[in-house]
Amino acid sequence: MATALTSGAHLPQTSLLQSGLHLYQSAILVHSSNLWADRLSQVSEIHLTVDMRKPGDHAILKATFGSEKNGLHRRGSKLVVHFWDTVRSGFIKQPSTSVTGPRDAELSEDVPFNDADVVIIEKMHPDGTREKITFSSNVAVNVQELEQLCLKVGWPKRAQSKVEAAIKNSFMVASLSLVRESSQPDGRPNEVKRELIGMARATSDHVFNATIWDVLVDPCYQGQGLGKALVEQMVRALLRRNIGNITLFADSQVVDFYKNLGFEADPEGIKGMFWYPRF
Amino acid sequence: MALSGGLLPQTSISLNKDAVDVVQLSALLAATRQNCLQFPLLQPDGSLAEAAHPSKLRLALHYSTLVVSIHMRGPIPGGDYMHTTDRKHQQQRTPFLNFSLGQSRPVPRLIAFGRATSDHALTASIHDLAVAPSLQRRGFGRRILQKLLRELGRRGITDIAALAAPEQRPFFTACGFGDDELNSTTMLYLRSSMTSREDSVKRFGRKSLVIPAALRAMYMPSSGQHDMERS
Repeated sequence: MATALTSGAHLPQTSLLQSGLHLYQSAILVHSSNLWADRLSQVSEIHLTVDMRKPGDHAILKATFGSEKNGLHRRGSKLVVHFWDTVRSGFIKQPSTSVTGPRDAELSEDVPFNDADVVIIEKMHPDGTREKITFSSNVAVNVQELEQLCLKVGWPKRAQSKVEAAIKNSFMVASLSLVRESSQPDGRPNEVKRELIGMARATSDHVFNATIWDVLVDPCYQGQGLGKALVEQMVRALLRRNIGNITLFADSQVVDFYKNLGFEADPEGIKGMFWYPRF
Repeated sequence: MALSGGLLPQTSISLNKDAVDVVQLSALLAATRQNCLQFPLLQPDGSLAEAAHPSKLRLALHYSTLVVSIHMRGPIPGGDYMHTTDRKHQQQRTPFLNFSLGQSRPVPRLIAFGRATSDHALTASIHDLAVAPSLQRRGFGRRILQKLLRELGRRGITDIAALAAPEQRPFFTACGFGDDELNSTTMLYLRSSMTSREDSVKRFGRKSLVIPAALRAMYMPSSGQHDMERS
């Protein structure tokens, strides 16, 4: 990835610096909010370096998103972390059930996904429009947009209320968005349009098991590694929280896709079985 | 807790999460060679190297959609799955139970367990089914599973999955489970490290899983020919 960046991206110097500063400023905002919620184990730092070769020539922007601040998890068998006060239950995305106070001091951390949106691909067009594909694990997915996307991919229609409830009660919902920013020539504020082009979700018990469902990418944007990024980041988020049993049920045409991502079919003979009500 | 007809007289089945003592649960799972990891590390004699940690179990129960447990009031016929010393420690650790039952009454023994996770609408998965070794093949496992299925059905969830090892398939088949009608392939994440870089690998029982790298931004050159479809 670094080589792609430094292999001569010729961009007008001023606009690049401006966009770089914009990113840097939003990074600072994210970072300071994370300092306040100090028990986050997720992505929180965005490093930005501007590498000036020759003044007046071009500037090469190297941005690394998603480096981790990993002070909480200890490698090895036992995980010793701190109890996340249920007062801050606003962050916990699960339906509320009575929490019996734990008597042990050791509890696994329940950490909300507070990562900043990660820009995967960014393109500047000569007319000044900027298009970005961003990955996010905490932006609310619009159910109507999702339904459109499901139809585009060719999936059967599902009851919207059920889909809405499923998303609300999923442990993690990751989405890919196409963000189009067009600069207005007469000084008006930039028009920003956001479109859902991919999604994946996972259900989990927050501690041991997770199942990935509903991975989809808009057919127009397939073939660019976006689906791969989606699933990889989901796996990454789960593993970093020590959720090691990650399962999914793949249609025959995507088995190879998941094999390339590190998934094995029926390992040691373990197979998924499904319940069919007999009336 | 209600008495259910058809079980041994001193047993009762419950959906109450708080009825499950996580120390007993850890021992019950260990007795059935489970510790919630898909590929647990085993000792040379076949027993578990490390049991599931009770506090982790407590969290897992909290975030499970349904928890079904069968308790027995008397001593377990055929022998308990917990050692006597551990049971005595248990009695000391659970004073509130002793208060309600009286010091002379024994702590109810967890003899069967099962739980389900779901998104409360579309899909559910069954995990950690366990029956005390000396009480197996009496229908307790089936009772647990049927209770789970009925409760999930009540909430409108009909897409219910369970991961089964080859030796568990007959049990699930007998309870109404089968291979996926849509012919999907069950896949588990098992990428293991081929390099020795330690900071991107985590151990889970017998397996060491590689953690995928964080996303990095890619900047594409802007030119008239490049569209958004193909880069």
